[in-house]
Amino acid sequence: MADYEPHNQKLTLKVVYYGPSLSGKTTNLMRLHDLLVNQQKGEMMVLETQNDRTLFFDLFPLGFRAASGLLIKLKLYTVPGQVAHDSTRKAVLSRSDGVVFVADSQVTQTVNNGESFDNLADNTARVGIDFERLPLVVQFNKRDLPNIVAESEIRERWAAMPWPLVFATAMQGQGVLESFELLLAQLYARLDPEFSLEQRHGLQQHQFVAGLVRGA
Amino acid sequence: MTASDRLPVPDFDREVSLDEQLTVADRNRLRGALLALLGPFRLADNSGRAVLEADAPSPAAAGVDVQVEIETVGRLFADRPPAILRGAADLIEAVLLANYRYRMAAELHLAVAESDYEALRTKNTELVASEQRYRVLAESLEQQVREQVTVIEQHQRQMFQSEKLASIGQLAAGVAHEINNPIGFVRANLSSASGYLAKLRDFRQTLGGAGGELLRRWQALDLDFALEDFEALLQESIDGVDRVAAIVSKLRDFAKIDRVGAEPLDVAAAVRSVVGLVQSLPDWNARIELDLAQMLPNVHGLASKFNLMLLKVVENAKLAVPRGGLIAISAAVDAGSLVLKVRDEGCGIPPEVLPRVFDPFFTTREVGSGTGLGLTVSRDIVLAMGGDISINSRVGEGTEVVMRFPPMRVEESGEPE
Repeated sequence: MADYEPHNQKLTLKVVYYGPSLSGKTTNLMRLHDLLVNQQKGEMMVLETQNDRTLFFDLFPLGFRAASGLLIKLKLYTVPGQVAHDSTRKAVLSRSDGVVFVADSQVTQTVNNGESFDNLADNTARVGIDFERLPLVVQFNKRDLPNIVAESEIRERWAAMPWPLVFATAMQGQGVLESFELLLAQLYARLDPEFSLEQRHGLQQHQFVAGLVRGA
Repeated sequence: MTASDRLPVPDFDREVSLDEQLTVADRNRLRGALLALLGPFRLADNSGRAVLEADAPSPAAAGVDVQVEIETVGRLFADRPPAILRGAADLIEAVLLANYRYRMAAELHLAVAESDYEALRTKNTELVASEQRYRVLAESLEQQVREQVTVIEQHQRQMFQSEKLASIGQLAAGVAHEINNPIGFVRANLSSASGYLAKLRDFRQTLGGAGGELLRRWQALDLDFALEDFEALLQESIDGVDRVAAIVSKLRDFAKIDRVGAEPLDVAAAVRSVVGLVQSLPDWNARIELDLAQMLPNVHGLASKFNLMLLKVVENAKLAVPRGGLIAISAAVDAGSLVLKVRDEGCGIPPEVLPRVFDPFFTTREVGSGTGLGLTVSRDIVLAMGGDISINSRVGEGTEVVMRFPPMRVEESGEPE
């Protein structure tokens, strides 16, 4: 999306939490909402659920104003993970600037993770996003559960991939902020050439990340 | 980033202005409520433009920010204490947030419905195309079956004839083997008998013209006549035995049962073999004129089938001509092809019959005298050899069957079929 409105001095960005059903996308968003000390964060908006399963999406906005006066506004979304809601997933993914892929570490969920990741790649292509260039962090969640795939095995499997891996227990808030910050770093690298964040707005990467996490 | 998907509704997650956020119904109810709460008021957007107002607050009226999410979207002005103004602004914010939620959900739902509909339409288009394919297939199925049946019938006819030919060939081979031996010693014995006859003649010489008991006895038995007739009898028997041997040999040649598969076919030799065979037939009564050009190219085919084909054509010609009538067979090269013609001066074929002569089981002859397959099989064989066959005929003048065969290419050595 990266919607820049010069007259309003505003840059609006969109980050999506993607992943298989019940992998902990909403939990990630809720814990992140708690963990962020930034005062400029909106209410967590849970748009429609059924038995605690996301039907539409969850959302909260976050922002800070750079020294130049530019308001950086970030909207964080989750998609519904259930296979049936693919059209909704596609619509939410549309125009996104970055993705946190939340995988379920349990051995039994390996296939679902793979299918969901393929689905992400397919859907980014369908909504016109270049998957190769999309800022992306892969988070393996639920590290506190028994019967999970070993970290070494996961690292080995993903070794050839360019994306950073995070091991998380979102329920307890572990790895949540790390995933978010890793994504912000990639996001900055992608945005800076286009919007001259450093040159015109005096915004370096660490300031960009800190601004969003802790406020200006 | 722009979506390549044709989303027919505005992006549900777009940023909207205060003006857009307030629906007409909201405005009417809000105006009434705010007027009752605040008296004259003005709600302006960030650019200062009034979005909603009632009467006009004084220029000195106090103002508070109205916020949605993390941003200020406008400012509310009224001549009221700040706390009350703040309370009214909170009310407006609550309405805006509810609207925001509702609008996002509605527009996302619309986008999803549209996308699902589009997917269904695509699926439907594919199904229609697939149904069309099956329809075409079903329509052409009958035609294809007909064609296949024709091919199968053709092969069946050829097989039927080939089997007939094979059994004739086997019979010929058996007969040839069984007959050749006795014919051999009969022929040898006849030659010996001729030798003995010479001795007898020599003895008659010795008797001479002088009288005597022996001579008188010789003459009484009319042995002079017997001797002469004996010689004629032996000669006739030798000729007969030779003819039997020749027929057996021709039968073998014709059936070619000792050859299988493709071969370079010497048309002149094949024609002679067939002519030799028909002329040995017991009821043969036509004259045959042969005009075979020198150095004819070989054609590609199986001699047994070619012979069968030519036999059928020549038999038909024979049935058309009167006793002693002429059948002319010629072979020549024309434009690279070998052209074989069988012409008869017979009764001819009526024009209404001509187009049907190649049809299977079509015959003008009496039931039982033919299968009606002769020319059909002939045409099948010519076509299988890569050639073509045509018939010119005039009633009362005669008929000419013209067959053209492509010459065998030098490198060609594979199966003809």
